[in-house]
Amino acid sequence: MTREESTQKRLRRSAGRRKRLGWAASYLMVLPATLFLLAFTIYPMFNLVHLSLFKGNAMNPYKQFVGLDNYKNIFFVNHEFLPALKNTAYYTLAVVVLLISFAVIFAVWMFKDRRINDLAQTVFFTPHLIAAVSCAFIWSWLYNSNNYGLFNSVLGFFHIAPVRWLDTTETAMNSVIIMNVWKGIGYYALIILSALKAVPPEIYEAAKLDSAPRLTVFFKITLPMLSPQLFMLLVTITTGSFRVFDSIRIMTGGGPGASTTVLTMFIYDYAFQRNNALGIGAAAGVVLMVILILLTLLDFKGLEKKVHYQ
Amino acid sequence: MAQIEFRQVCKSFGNAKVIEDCNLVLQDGKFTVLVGASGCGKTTLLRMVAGIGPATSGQVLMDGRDITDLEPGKRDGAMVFQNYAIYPTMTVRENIEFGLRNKKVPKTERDRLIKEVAESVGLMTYLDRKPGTLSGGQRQRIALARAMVKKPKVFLMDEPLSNLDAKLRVAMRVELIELHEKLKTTFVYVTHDQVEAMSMADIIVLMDKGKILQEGTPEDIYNEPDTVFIAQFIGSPAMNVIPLAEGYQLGYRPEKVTLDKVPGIATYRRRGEILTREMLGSETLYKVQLKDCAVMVKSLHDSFKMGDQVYIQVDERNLYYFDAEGRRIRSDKGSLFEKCATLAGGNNDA
Amino acid sequence: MRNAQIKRRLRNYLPSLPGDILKIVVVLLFLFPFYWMMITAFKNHNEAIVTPPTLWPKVFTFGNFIKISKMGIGLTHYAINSVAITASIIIIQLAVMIPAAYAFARRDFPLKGLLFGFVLVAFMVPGQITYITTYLTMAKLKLMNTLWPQIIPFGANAFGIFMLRQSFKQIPDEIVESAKLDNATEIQVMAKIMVPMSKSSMITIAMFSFISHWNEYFWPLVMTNSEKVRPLTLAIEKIKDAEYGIQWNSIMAANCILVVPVLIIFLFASKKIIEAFAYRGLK
Repeated sequence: MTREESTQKRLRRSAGRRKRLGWAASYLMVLPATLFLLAFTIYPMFNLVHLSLFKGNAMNPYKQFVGLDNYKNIFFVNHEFLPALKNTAYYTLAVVVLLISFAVIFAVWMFKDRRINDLAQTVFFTPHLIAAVSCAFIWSWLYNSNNYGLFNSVLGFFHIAPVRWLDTTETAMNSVIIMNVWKGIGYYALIILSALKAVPPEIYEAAKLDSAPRLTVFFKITLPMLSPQLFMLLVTITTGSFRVFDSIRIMTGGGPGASTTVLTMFIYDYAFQRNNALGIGAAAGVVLMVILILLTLLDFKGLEKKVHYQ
Repeated sequence: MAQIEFRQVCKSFGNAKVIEDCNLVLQDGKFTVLVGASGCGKTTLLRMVAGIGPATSGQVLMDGRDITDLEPGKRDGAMVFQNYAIYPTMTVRENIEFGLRNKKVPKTERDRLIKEVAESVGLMTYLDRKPGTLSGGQRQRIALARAMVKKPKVFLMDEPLSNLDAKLRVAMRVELIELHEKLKTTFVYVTHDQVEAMSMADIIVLMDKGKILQEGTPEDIYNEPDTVFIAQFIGSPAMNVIPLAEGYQLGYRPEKVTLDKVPGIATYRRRGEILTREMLGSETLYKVQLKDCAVMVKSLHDSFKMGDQVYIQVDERNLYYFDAEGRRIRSDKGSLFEKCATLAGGNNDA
Repeated sequence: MRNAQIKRRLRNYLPSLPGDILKIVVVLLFLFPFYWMMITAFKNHNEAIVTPPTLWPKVFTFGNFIKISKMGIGLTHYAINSVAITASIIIIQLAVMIPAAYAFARRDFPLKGLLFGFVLVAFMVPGQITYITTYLTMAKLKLMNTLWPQIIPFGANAFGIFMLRQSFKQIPDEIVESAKLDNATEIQVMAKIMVPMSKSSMITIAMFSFISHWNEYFWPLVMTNSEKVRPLTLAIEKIKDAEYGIQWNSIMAANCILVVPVLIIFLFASKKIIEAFAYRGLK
């Protein structure tokens, strides 16, 4: 072996060692994050499926293997799961429709660069920052069924009989929905507004030169330009609504009756509040997880489209 | 001061070969300019000297010592980047000081060096400012100061003037030449701009597609280009190249052409008509339509108008011949000229 | 001349006047719930439930705040828990996030894609999916009577890692190379160049973290069994159940204490916060 060759070989070996040392350092850097993610996200996802195959409680979650019985139970035996799913779907549909349409209206309304619009944007956005718990308590107080409840006082001023907003099965869910629309509008309007401002103004100027009427401009130019963001909002609001818990628990506790019980409340109730029902709660959790995964995949599909669109 | 040597250096990114078997010596104390179109591999060579883009194979030597795998911080090199790469969160002083601190230079020594350098590039009053508040020219000076303060054996510059406006660029060119005169260290400068290369270099290394085409002084490269590619790369506007018979090509520079109302006596003379006229100030640029082609002429006379009938002529010593592969033919020019003239069916249509 | 100008401006403005008035009315309506919360907090019980309600307290009292601070284990205790939990989460998240984001942005190693995939998954998976298992884990570790179950599960902030990686990636290569030529070690590059250059991203991430954990209700509800370790968000419920008949003035006073810190931060940095939310919303 010539000297040249042996140096080359030594160089190669030391390069290999340096590479492995570099890998070790990289792993050290991502190790804490990875451990947290594995322990508190990845493992719980799989374990939820595992738990759903057992009958047990918090003390002894794997007491008895029951296969798919828990799923059979929630879909065919239990009287609370399907209504909870239906309530969740109703809540989601209403919130999606109201939030998106109001967000677009508010965004267009606040489009011009004026000080009053900055102020309006700030104010509309504020409820988004406040805890759902706080908003729920404030609105419970506004909705108070007695004469002194603020909304009922206003109705009283117009000689209308008081309404028991949160206390009847007909009005409870809608009252909760109104609160959550109030809380979310500013945030979603903000996103639409940023998207609107990203549209090159030349397009509108060109439309003006073509003397297009304002409504035509809105439906033929503005809305199509917004379609990627609208789609994204659709998915974000839907996934968010399927997870709703705080506001409903505070405002109605799922009642009256089970008229406002949603999926997350069903899971919470069965997982820890009842005897030996942890598996049922877990099975319902798996259903929620599947719904969320499907929605997220839909989001990715939409993102692909967005790339084509631009 | 240092001499840099590349020995059989190759570099590839994945399957793309950027540098192929490069052998090159950058002489000690000289201002060497690597010039070529973008993607020719000039920056890759520079980064190898700096140590931030190692060679795939081959060796890089500094003063005979193998530095191929040496860490960048241990190389006695300093680099000025195209976008200056100034640390935006540090003040001007901290920017200049950073390298010294890492080398554990004592505080008093650091202060002395910073003062010295800041004075010489005119940054004294800006030392405690953040770079974000300074102009492009001043940021350029920070980058220079940061390199100078390390007293490097080799000064590497990657298109450092390309982000400046035209006027400032010309001024900085002069300053860099002066800086080299003062420091007398090895300068390696990368640019795609042939004017920059011509005006600053002691030695020009002209590259294309990962290969070195020619190296020499600016005069060498301008007067004695090896190929038609080099001849057309250097000089503005580019050399006129006229196809002759059998793939041979004839070239002459626009600034070597004499323009007249009456036919001259030079061996190469043609009649033509002025197509366009660009007044550049001290000179005027004409496009002249000859019988079978159009050529550019740079003249001190601005009196010709569009549509004028004119005669052009070029001295024989300013004529270049190239073969079918574009290589320069240096020997026996006379007979070739005669031959081509005959083949072309008579040339001097005076 | 001057008069003519003013006239012209007025004429241009007049058509938007009705719209502006409507806008101001809507703005006031949006703010009204917060106003109602605050004035209720300063009313005594009798005035809080009077018909018709008063729009400004006739008797302005701090009594509700004093009363709730002494109720049960005391509101201060909950507030301290809230601060301790939120602060610990932010500190741990930053310590975990910086090296991870750096490695994901700037280094190459086997399985990087998979590990980064975990980050993206965690970005989408909500607490409602993970809490059952996490509860069982925490119970097994006998941590249920401590603050840890409300802190450790949030050690890795997926959104933060994602955003900080983005920010590290945007730093030009030349700056890092320049630092290497300046003889800086990788740790110095990280600490002295990358982190300072990403300061605004990290402030944004910390702010998002503060808002979401300060407001967190679901997680402490399912992760705690005793009042001792509960945060402010759960204290209000406790106050609601504590007395005979619901005392809305006390509830609103407690609510104020939860809401006001966030409102103050928003008041001082509304522009920055709104920008950050818009950025995150559009990804």
